[in-house]
Amino acid sequence: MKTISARQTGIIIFLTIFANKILLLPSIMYQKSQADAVFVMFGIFALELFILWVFLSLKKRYPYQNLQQILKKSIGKYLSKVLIFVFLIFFLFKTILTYSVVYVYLKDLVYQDEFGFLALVCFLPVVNHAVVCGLRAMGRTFELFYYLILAGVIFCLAIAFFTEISIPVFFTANVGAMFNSAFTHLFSFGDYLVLFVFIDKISLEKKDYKKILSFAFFAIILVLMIFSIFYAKYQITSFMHNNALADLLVFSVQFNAIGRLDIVAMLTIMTLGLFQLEIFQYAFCESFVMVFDKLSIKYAIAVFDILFFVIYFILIGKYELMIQLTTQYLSYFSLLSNFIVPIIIACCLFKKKKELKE
Amino acid sequence: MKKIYDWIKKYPFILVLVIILLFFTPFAIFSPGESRKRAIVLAIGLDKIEDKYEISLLTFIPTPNQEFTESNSVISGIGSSISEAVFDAQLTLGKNIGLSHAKTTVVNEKMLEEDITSSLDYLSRIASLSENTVFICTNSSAKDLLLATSSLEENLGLKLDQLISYNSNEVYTMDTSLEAFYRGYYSPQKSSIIGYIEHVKEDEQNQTSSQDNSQSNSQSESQSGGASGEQSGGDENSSSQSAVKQSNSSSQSEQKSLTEKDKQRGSISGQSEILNIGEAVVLREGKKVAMLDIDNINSLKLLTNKKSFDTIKITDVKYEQDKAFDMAFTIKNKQVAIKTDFQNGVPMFIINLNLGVQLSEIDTKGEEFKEESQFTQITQEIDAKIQNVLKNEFVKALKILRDSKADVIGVYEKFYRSNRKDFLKFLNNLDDKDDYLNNIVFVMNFKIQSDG
Repeated sequence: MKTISARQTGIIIFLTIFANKILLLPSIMYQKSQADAVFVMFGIFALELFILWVFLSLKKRYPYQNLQQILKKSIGKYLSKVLIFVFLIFFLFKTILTYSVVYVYLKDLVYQDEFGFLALVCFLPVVNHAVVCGLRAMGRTFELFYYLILAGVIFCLAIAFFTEISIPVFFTANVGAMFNSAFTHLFSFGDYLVLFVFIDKISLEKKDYKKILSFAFFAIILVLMIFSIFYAKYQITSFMHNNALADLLVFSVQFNAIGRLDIVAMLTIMTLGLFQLEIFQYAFCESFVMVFDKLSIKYAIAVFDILFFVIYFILIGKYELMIQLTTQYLSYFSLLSNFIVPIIIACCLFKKKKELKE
Repeated sequence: MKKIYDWIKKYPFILVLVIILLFFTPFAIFSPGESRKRAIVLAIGLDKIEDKYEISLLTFIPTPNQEFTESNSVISGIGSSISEAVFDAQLTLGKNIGLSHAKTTVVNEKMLEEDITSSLDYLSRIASLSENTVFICTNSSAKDLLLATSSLEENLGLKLDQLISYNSNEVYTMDTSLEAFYRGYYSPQKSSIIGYIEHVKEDEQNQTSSQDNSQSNSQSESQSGGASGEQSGGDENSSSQSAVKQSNSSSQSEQKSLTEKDKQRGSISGQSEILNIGEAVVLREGKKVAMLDIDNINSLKLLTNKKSFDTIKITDVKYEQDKAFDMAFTIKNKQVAIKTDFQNGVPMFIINLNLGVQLSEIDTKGEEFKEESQFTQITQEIDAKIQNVLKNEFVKALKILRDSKADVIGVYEKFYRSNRKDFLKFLNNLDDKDDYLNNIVFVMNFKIQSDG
């Protein structure tokens, strides 16, 4: 089996942690919890480390088995399929959300008009092709572009320091508002879940765990920095800026003469968006193959494309509706996918441990 | 055929690439240039004529030529809303407008009599507007200002955005962008500050010059910073027009007529004139509540750590028995530390200023001047006089802010950050919560050193 290295796994974690968090999220989180959204993010990231711990423990115990094989032994065939089906739905909507956020960003800054069909023609074949090529090819590509993406993100953050920033006013939101904000935007998290669906395709040794954790921590620190600097720069008008990473570069009279510096953010976001779409679609297809074990990955891709087209272009159609869907209804669903399912998996793990001891 | 099929199967990405190329290449080749479909807007002007809005767009029309000149024109549209006016302008132009290069938004002063945000709503919503657009106000119509700009650019190569960038970086040293306006508008203090540029029409200018001619050798006028080069010679006998006085602009500028301002402060002239005298408009809840002149702005700038090289003028500094000179000092270095405190329930806003000043000019008033070097040292008298001037100027500026209840210097924020509980308690005890500036004690401590 073609597997990916610990470094490639780390980069996948790095890329997924950025998903849906660097454009719209800082702005909409500010509306509920003001600058204290940074603490909300910190809290959710801390909680999510539990998922990473579950994954690493699972990988340690079952180095070569896939998720379905692991779950089948503990909870049976059908229940395991139900749990994986939850992941399937999660990744489908996660891909749609990632696509719509990146699409709206590109529409606002590059195309000015609707270019839905054009974007679809550009994105889908490339993403489908990446999925067909498999995880190793994707991993190598990510490895190749990793430093470019990192340089883009750091450049955006660094430029922000040359403009007028001041420490944001913290502790203005009450605890209720912070919990409400965390729950509402829960769907934008659950990034480590991708690792579960291709657990068997990751080759990890005990010494690599630190490497995985360092990538995760590094990405978390960068995301928290984007949030903090964004709030430091825009403060009370943060709610007006929907493209956080790109907006860190602009809105400065000092840079009027330089012109469109935001091209750096544009390239970074486009590359990040494309890679995130590839990861999430791959995760969807892997889940699909595990649920419908008689169908190959090509069927999974075809089903994904049809579902993507139907849900995004016909049922949802509008960006606002997509955001409404993710912040209202899918929050409950992500509670299930992000926490309840990993808890069930953790329980299975402990049960197995107990059995082995006995 | 089988070979080709096998090859494609082996390298499917080539097929993907070919399909994309086949699909997009004809579009790219046969579609007209973007400049044919879209006009590049460099500045936006907003006016309100009765119930209708007029939007004026300073547009850059890219045309191939062998000279290094740009052809700009002002296109306007009228409608009952800004979006309708934009559509009207597009109709006139026969192109869609691209606002991503618009670096200036100008509004007519009259529009600031009402909450301006309702008029700016369209601009704040459309994401295509350049996000660092500077927001300014003008006395006459915004359209006229843009027309004047257009002719200036063609005749002299002077651009409005250059002028505004200079103002932002050197004169105001504070953010006067549309973004900063909204930041102030949505803050608890609801106040913001925007730039002000006057426009003098050609007929007014003619009247001015005819009046000037009729006056018989009244006073000497000198113009500084003007691009027109209309510098009249200075009258040596007129002590009131001394070099020192010219370097420090008068604080009574608001009371002067436009003509006098034009004469004393200089202007940029093309077919009509743009008068940039560093004034700013204070807005509260989106409405104009006060005007700040250059002296007020300079004194408020003392609260920021940004370098601004302002000039301080002091008079009658004694040396050599009875001789007294006027002097001008330039602030070369500035360190500001602001502390907020509550003493017996009274909020104290303490400004500690560490200034490094350099003697830039001495008006000897015709006296013999021997020891020039001694003035590089800050004597007690000079120290006291500089402090006095700065304090007086700050008091004047603060009075304007207090009267208009407009906190554009971030007093609220500083108290909220440092003494949140006490400050909120203090606000709750006030009859009018917006009038907090009047109930705060401002203390200025100076440490003035020579930076010669």
